[in-house]
This record gives sequence, structure tokens and C-alpha cells, in this order.
Amino acid sequence: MSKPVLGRDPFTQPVPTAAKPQKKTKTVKKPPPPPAPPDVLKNRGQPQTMEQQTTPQTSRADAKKEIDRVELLEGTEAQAGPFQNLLYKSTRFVRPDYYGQKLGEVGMRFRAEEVDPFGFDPVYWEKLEPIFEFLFDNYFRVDLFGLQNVPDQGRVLLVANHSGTLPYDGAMIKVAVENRHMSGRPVRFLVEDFVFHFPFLGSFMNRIGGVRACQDNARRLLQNEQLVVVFPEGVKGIGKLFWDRYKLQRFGRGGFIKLALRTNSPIIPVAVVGAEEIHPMLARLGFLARTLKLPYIPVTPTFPLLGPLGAIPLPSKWLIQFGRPISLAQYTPEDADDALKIMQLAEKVRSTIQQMVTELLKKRKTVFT
Amino acid sequence: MPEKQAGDGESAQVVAITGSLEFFGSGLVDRLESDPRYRKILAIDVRAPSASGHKVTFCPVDLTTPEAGHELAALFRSNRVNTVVHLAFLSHPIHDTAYAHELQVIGTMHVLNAVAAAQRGKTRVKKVVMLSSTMVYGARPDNPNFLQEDRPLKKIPNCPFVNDLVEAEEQLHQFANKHPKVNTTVLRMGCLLGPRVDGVLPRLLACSTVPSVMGYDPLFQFLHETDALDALKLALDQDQEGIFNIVAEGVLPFSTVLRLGGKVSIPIPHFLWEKVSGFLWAFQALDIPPSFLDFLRYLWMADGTKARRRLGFSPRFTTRETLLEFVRSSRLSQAPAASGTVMRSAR
Repeated sequence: MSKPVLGRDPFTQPVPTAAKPQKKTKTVKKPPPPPAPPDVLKNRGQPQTMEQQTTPQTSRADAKKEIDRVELLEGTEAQAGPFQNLLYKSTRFVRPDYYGQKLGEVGMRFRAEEVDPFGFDPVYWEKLEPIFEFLFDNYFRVDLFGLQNVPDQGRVLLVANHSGTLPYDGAMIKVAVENRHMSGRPVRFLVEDFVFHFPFLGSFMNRIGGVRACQDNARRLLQNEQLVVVFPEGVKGIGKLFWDRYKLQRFGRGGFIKLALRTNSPIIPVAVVGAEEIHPMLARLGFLARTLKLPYIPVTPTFPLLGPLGAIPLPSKWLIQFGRPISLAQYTPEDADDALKIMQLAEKVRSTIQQMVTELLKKRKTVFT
Repeated sequence: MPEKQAGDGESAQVVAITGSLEFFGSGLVDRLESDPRYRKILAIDVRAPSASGHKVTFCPVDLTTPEAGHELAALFRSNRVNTVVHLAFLSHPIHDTAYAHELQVIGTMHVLNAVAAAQRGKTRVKKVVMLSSTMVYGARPDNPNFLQEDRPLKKIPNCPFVNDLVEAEEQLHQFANKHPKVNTTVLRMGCLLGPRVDGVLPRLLACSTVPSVMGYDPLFQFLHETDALDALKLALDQDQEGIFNIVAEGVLPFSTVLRLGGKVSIPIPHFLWEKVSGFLWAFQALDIPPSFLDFLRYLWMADGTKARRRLGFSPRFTTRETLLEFVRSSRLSQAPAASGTVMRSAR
């Protein structure tokens, strides 16, 4: 729909191709656009606006005006006279635009101007990285095994066990591969659906590299030769009670196997030990969770008792092992439709990771050392 | 009957454009005017254009009247129309939802009926291009990041604006099944932004303070209005059939959009905003219906690879460039939200 002030659209002939000779065969002269309400112009005390107020009335919708308009849009203060400049400078503090711009500039310190197609914001992550580095090195004192099994490039699916009430395991795997692996390749992890129903959680996950878990997204990532971390246990894994720790739950419906088959990606099993103890969950509040539409509300020895302080994880000792790649090369993408085979393969991967977890538990002397 | 309409004279095409006064209509008329492959343009709208070129013939037809189908069929036959471009859609939701339904759904029905009637004549309508929006996918928490054209469309409760588009697309789909000889193309435009185009987002972003939904930060793709017109022209020039998402490269989270644009954002909790905006909408104090809040909460980005591959559409502006361009131009011109009424073209 046309905006009367702008007149005949200058943007149908965009700036780079403005030189294209287009014959204006206008027979009827356009009616002059209605003059802008004076208060609007007063509010925006820009010299450009003042000039603009006069241009539509004096000139027709011809090429010259379009050039003028383009110059106006490029808008430099240098074009204006000294008086107008002074006026502009002295009045800019009273315009709300000014504060919006300043606020935006401050806000942009925490944001990148370009995010990747899945919303990962490198600047945001850069600001948060020290916290996760601290957790990795000093707090959880993560020991890594078999990091060399992660390939330097090419599509790969990391399948890990999930635990710990809050998904610190995803963050630690991210730090391990991005900052400790030779390649430093970016890590994308698939995030449970329910997270995106909630305020703050979903957008936070998105900014640090989480992607909503669905076949479409994961396939797109793998086809772009990315490293994708997936936790097939999902909510069942992360919301385990303390006495079920290190018992791997069912691996979903084998969606990750279908994904690996369809994209022909190798699977690297990852075992995480230590995350189970950061928030030992004693019970789940079902009723409250249902009213808040959360999958569960944890009760830990500290959580509702100490309020927000209870959300601080316990400093357990972590061990992360990256297993040997499981190749699915002998299967074809058509096997992705064979439900029985899928479940069989998923179970095979699950038992591999279970075994790795059991081995790792033997390496750890106590929970905290 | 000429198969490829290259060249001029008798073999050049005759195009009928409904909604020719709206942004898309007028932009397309301008482009066809300078293209020798198009011989004649029937500009169909309710009001006469204030200026027109020598190829343009204005035909007043009101799509909301019951005789519209007849009138259009007669026009198509007598002018030997080859291509119908159906652009008579609202760019922004209006309070009069009954009228919107008449115009968008019943209007589409009239146009398609007329095309079907024009099949019997000597020169038949070979191609129908329809405008739509990626809004038809709906903003849902379980959307993948990039929606593809084959995703089934679902209606959104309490959102007649989008549902009308969905219904119009369904009609075209049924029409295409019934008339396999007619080439049907649907262009689902992404989130448009530009100094001239109207819509929910341009209006929202024209304000210096922009309300957002607290805790939600969906990703957005912004398509520059000139790119959208380019895509429309491409779809007309080529004989590609099907549905195409027309979107720009690059994405930006809404919070970054507001920061880059120098807007002050006011995060409002969803439950509060839902109530307040419903109330304000009911009293016509607000332009944005409450059902649109989901578009500020969840993802509704589309995948543009099909258009890139098959139409050869390559947008000139990225999302970020489009946004900066829009902000710059709206800072200098009057705010679009302050400029006049909704629906200037339809009435």
C-alpha cells in the first residue's frame, strides 16, 4: 500500500540499478501528497525532514526527485547547512529516536549483527563462555577421554546420555569440542521441544547454539557438515530420580538412527559421568508442573528449600568419554523406514553408551574427587 | 497458439492484475510496462489509478460483488488474457473481518471461476499467479526453523486474516487439480519490509517503542519490497508451477532487530498482552489483533531454496540490510503507521 508522503515508489528502482532508463509515461499528474502534520515534523527536528517537506510539493514524480530521494535516504548531515546542523545537534536530545538508538547501541554489545540460520549468536556466546569455562575447568573439573575420536570435519552425530535436571551436560560437551578439540569446530545440540514453549529458556538455548529437535532441523545441520549433539533420552533422561542414576532410559523412538541413516552420518557415542549428581532429584512435583505446563518440577535436597540458591549445582567430578565412531555404512537410507531395525540399532547404541558409563564410573574414586 | 511468449506483437502476453492499486499491483504494472514481452495489462481494481502507462487498461471490478465472476470472465475473454495475477489481498488485518473474507476468499473464488470460464474460449488463460504469505504456516512452537512448501497448512484459531489466505490457497489447489492445463503458481512472501509496503511488521517497526513478548525471541527473515516485486515478475516470466517461499537470506532474532533499529523494546508478559491487546483490538485502538502475538513468540521462517533453484530468485537485500534500509527510510519519512487508513486499495 502506498504511503502518500513517499510519492511514487523510488524503491521499485533500487539504488544499484537506479540508472535503468525507465520511461515515465504518466499522463495524469499525481496529486500532491497531503502535508505532514506539523507536530510530527517538529518532533523529528532533522534537517532532512524539513527539506523533504518541500520536495513533494515543488517537483513532480520525476527522475530528479527520485535521485533527491535516494540522496535523502542516504542521509548525511553534511548536505545540510551549518544552521540546520546546529539545530539538528541541539535538538537531537529531545527526540525519543536518540535514546532508542543509544539504547540499541548498548544492547548490541551483547549481540552479533549476524546470527547463523539457527540463531546461534557468537557475541552472546563469547560473553557467556568464561562462565562455562570456569564450570568446565574449576567447578566440575571435567576429564576428557577419547576426544580424538571426534573427526575434524564432516557431518557427525554425537549421541550422549542425558542427566542432571538442567542440561549442563550439553554445555560441557560444547566446551569440550569447541575449546579442547584440535579443530575447535562448532557444536550444535538438539533441544527438547518443550523448552521452546517457555519464555526465556528457548531463546537462551537458541542463542548459545541449541536447535529445536526435529528431523528437519537436524537433517539441515548435518547436510551442512555440522557436528550435532543429540540426547535421545530426552526428558526421561534429564528428569531421572537420584536412585535411577546412570541407568539409561529408552532412546526415544530411534529418531536419531533414522537421521543418521538418511544423512549417512557416523554416530559417536558419548558417555557423561558426573552430571547425575549436580542436582540429585528426590521427587518430581507433578501437580505444580502441570499447572505451569512444565514437564517436571524437581525436588532436590536444596532446591525449593533454599530458593534460587538451591539452583546452584553441586560440584561433582565429571568424566566425559567420546567412543569410537559407530558406522552405519552397511545400511542404506531405505532402512530408515524399517521400524524394527531402527529400534534394534537404537538399542545397540544405548547399550554401548551404558557400557561406557559403567566403565567410567569405575574410574571415578568418589563423587566429588 | 504461441507456447513461448518471447518477442512482441501478437505473441506478446496479455496480463490481468487484480488488486492493481495495491503495492504489489502497482509495482508489477510498472515492471510490465517496460517489458516488451507483455502487450497489454488489465488493471483490475475498484478505483482508477491516478496515473497509468500506455499498456494499461483500467477495468473497474469489485471482487466483493456477486457479479464479479461474470464481469471478469467477460474481460478475460474479450481481451484474450493469457495470465491472471491475483493480488487482491489485504496486506494488514482489518477489523471488518466479514469484508476481508468476502474480498480474499470469495474474491479468489470469483477470479478462479472466471479463469475456469475463460478456458472454453479460443484463447485460454494459461497461467494464474497468486500472492500469499508465509504467515499461512502459522507461528507454532513445533515448527522447524525453516518451513518448506509441502508443509500442510492448518488454520489458526481466531486469526481470520491468515485463515482467509489459507482458504484462498486451498481453493487454488482444488482449481489446479480440476484444471491441470492451467499453470498455477503461489508465491508465499516472507515478512515484507520497506518504505512503501504495509503489513503488521512494518507498522510495528515504524514505532519508536515496540512491545515484544517477554522471554520470547523468535528469528525473523525480512524481505525487501523490491525483492518481492522481482520475485513476482520472475514468477510471471517463467513457466514454473507450484508453491514458492520468497524469503531473504539471513536471519535475525527479534531482540536484535529492535536493537539494530534503535527501538525501545517493552517486553510484556504474554498473558497480559493477550488480554490487553484483545481489549484494545475490540475497541479498534490497536492495529494488531491478539492472534498475531504468536508471530512474535514462535518461529515462522521459511526455506527459500525452491524459489532460488527453480525460479532463479536471488534477493538483493539480506535480512539485515532490509532492516537497516527500512529503519533509515522510516526515520526520514513519516512513520508508515501514521499515514492514513488501512485498506486504501480495497475500497
